Amino acid sequence: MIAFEGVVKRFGATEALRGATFTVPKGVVAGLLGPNGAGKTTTIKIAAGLLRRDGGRVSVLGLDPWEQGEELRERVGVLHERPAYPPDVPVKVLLRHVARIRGLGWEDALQAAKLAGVERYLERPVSALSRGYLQRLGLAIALLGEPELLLLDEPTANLDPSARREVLAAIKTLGEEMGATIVISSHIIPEMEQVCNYAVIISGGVVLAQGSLTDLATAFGAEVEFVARSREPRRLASLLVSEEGVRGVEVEGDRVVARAASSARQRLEALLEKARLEGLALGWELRSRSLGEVYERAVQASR
Amino acid sequence: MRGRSKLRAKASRFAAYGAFVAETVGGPLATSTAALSALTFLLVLAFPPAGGPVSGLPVLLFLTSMGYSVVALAGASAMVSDLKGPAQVFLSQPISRTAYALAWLSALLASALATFSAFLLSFAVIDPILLRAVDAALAAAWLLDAAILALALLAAAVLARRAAVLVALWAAMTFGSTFLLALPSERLRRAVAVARPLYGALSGWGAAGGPPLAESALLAAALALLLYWLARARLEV
Repeated sequence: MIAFEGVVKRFGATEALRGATFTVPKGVVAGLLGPNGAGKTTTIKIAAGLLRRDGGRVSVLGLDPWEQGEELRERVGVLHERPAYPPDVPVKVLLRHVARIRGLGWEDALQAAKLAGVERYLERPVSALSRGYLQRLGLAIALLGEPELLLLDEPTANLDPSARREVLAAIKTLGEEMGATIVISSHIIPEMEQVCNYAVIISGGVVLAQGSLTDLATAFGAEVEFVARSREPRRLASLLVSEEGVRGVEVEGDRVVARAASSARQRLEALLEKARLEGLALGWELRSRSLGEVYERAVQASR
Repeated sequence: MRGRSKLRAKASRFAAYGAFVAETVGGPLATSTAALSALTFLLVLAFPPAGGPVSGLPVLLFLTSMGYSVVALAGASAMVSDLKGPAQVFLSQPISRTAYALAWLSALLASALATFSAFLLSFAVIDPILLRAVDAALAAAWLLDAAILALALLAAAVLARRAAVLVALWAAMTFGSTFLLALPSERLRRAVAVARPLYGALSGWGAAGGPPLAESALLAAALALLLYWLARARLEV
């Protein structure tokens, strides 16, 4: 879906990207994580074809973003970190024009406005919108035409806590319902952990680590979490708790949640699979709640 | 067939963005053009009686050209402001960088055509005989002059992205040209006559053979190619 290979980008004497290499597979919600000035916005803009790379190769949906940007952006929605709009234009006019550029009608624009929660502000000029609603307007524009790929640069920046929650919930729903691949850049790890299942960690213009959250947790020796459903949850819990490397087991209704060291991952996967085949577990999944730990370890390892 | 539908999609996107420029940023351009047209009308009424119908023509042509140059400067400055913010929202849509620059160029050239048409209309309304005073070479010089100025300002907007640079270029092309035309150097005067064909024509340069319009047209084409290249290769947001 997205492939960066040794990508270099310079702004004068400053090297924003220094040979960035990563891939984002189709269908994931990927977090592009890194501190301020890591090169996240530059990466998003290069992927959207808004900035030209100075070296390396980039492929997004099989296209070169700088050379085939027009074709690419038919299939991509972009939300910028601090989107600037013509101030005196009503929201409705702006949405209608952007929809027209995408070959869409007013109905499509209205649907995107509803999805992003700005339909009540259509008659207002853009300059009258609060920071949070400007962000929602940006999201509405990004959603126009139900793109295959969404590139969201700091989508919760400058939002109050309730607006942050709403925007994150909207992104999660979009990922699940639209089936779109989503790339979100952010430095707020707990938020990313809520919505992402894949991460690319970048610092100083270099990619430090990438992969699914569970693979990253395993690679960096962080904790993983198994969630299993069972008709006999207490029996399954007692089986799990006796295993080496299991740090805690909780039972919530028919669900059993076991936290374990990543070194125990393979053994516990085999145990749960056996329990499923024997009927003790109805199903199970592996997830990670240790993205912060992974991030810290990746940054430390790079020093 | 696929190529044709692609072309149609491109044209439709360009039209949609062009309409946006016309509806929003084009507002002040239209107002300035209308104000300039009204001023032209009043000036046409004021000038003809003094010593025949064409005595005030050079002044009128100069003033309308000067007025348009301010409109072009305002338009190019608006593009600079746009490149610092809103452009990234539109360039994140399926619109090419060249179409973006072309939309702005179209707005400025449409404004030039509207100004010159209003100028001719003023003559026609007062007395159609006055139209004979504006020969084809003079009309071409006015239009080429406006096109060269608009292209140079837009190319500078994409390259430098600073309103101060545009003002400096505008001042050099407007006042600098007038100054250079007064110098005795024939080579310099010819260069100015090519870059500002109206100024050249009004100053009487090349009176025998007429203004060097072909060279001015070549310069306009070269500037158009430069703007295209800058938009394609350098228009990052």
